[in-house]
Amino acid sequence: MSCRAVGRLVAGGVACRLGFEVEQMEDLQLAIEAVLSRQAAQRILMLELCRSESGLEVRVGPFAPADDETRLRHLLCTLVGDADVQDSGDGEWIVLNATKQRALVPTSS
Amino acid sequence: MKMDDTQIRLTFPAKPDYLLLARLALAGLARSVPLDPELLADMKLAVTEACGNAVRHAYGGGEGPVSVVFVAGDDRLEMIVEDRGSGLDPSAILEWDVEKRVNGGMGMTIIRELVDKVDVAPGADGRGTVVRMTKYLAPS
Amino acid sequence: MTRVMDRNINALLVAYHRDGDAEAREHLLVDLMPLVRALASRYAGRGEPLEDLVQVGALGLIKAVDRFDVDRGVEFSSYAVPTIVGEIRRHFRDKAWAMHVPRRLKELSVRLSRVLDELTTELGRSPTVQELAEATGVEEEEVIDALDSAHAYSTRSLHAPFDDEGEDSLFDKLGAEEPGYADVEDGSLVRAGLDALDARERRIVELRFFEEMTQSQIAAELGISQMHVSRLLRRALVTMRGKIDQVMGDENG
Repeated sequence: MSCRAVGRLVAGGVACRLGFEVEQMEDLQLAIEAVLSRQAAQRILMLELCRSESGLEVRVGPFAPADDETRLRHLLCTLVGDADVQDSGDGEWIVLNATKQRALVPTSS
Repeated sequence: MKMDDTQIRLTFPAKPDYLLLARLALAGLARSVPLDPELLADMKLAVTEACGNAVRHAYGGGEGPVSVVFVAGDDRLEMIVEDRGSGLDPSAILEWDVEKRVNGGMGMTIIRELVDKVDVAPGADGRGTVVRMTKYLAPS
Repeated sequence: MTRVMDRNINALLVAYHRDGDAEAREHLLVDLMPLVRALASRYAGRGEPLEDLVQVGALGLIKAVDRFDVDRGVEFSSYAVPTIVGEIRRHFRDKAWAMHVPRRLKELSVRLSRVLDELTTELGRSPTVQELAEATGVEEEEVIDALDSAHAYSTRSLHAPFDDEGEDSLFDKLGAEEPGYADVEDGSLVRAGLDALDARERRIVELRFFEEMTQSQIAAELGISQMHVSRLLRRALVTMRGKIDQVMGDENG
């Protein structure tokens, strides 16, 4: 599906302009890939990218409600800092908050 | 069976930093609409010229959106670049300045070399400009 | 062109074509070189050196100056631009540029991967896209495109009806730092997941979960940084997850 590739690459372009680290950009792209694979609620799906304090806020929707909410949020949170599913009049929207730098975490093997 | 056209609308601030988004969108489209590399490169150039014009002229140094609609069909690729600005030309240039001249006027000439059909019209309700570019694709 | 300059160019063209003024021709070729450079620069970024494109464009300029018909009342630029651009585009066709693109992309991907790893080690963090672009001498846009094309993003939807059983343990472990695939009940699903990975990702997953090596040990084994291992592992797990979902979705109809 070409819209997934377009979503990934355009998000990559914005992330690059905002100074994202490569790893953070790629994690965001993976998250977008996962989100864009869901069933859209309407013929038109929207992907909005907004600069935020720590990076980028991404909103995708509207989606048909599905029962994968918890799992999806869990998956997305391993990739980006914060992910949420919000109900709106036209369906569910997924909101991702991606940070441009990896938070400092003690390394573990 | 005819495939539904894929339509993608990309909207971004009319600033030079964001021109790469239009080219990346094309690269994304090309992942599933097979485009010969030379054709893809030409389309990237054409969309850059059209968006570049909007970035330079549409909002007279102010802010505003540019949007590009890509329509990918079996037989053609369309790119429709829209801005909502007043499209004022820069004031008369008194000195030879190739960059301004080339960027301002050459864009359309270059676009005509790269696509099969170009159409420039005022935007809906008279505001802004719409540049519609069509490239016919050889049947695969 | 500005009105002042238009008069000059037109005057020079007339002097050359009507009066045979050779010096006028020289002036034209010199004065219009900035135009050639501006047009050539639009074609930069396709892997051909800019100076080559400028040389080729200059040939187009010469053609345009020599063949222009001053009596037709057509503006010179509307003749010159297509002629110059035409030469540049022909240059690409002659070099069979389109045929080399896949190989260039592969070479770029390999180089990006190597430099990414070097920078990660050197900086102690993942480099920014800008830093990677500078270090490889490649435009940021090309870096983004090449990085994306190097990954095996699925061509089918990751969405599938969820089954509660073996899924939960796999998914929950995916969310945790150190998933343990040895615990997953259905070996065939894991095999299907592994099949969706590229050779390097598969090796890393095997080393981590079947040979139970730590990320640092894997890093030493493969000669890459631990951060790189972490990143590759995370991507591999997400890809496997997607494949497993898909297989289960197919089975459920």
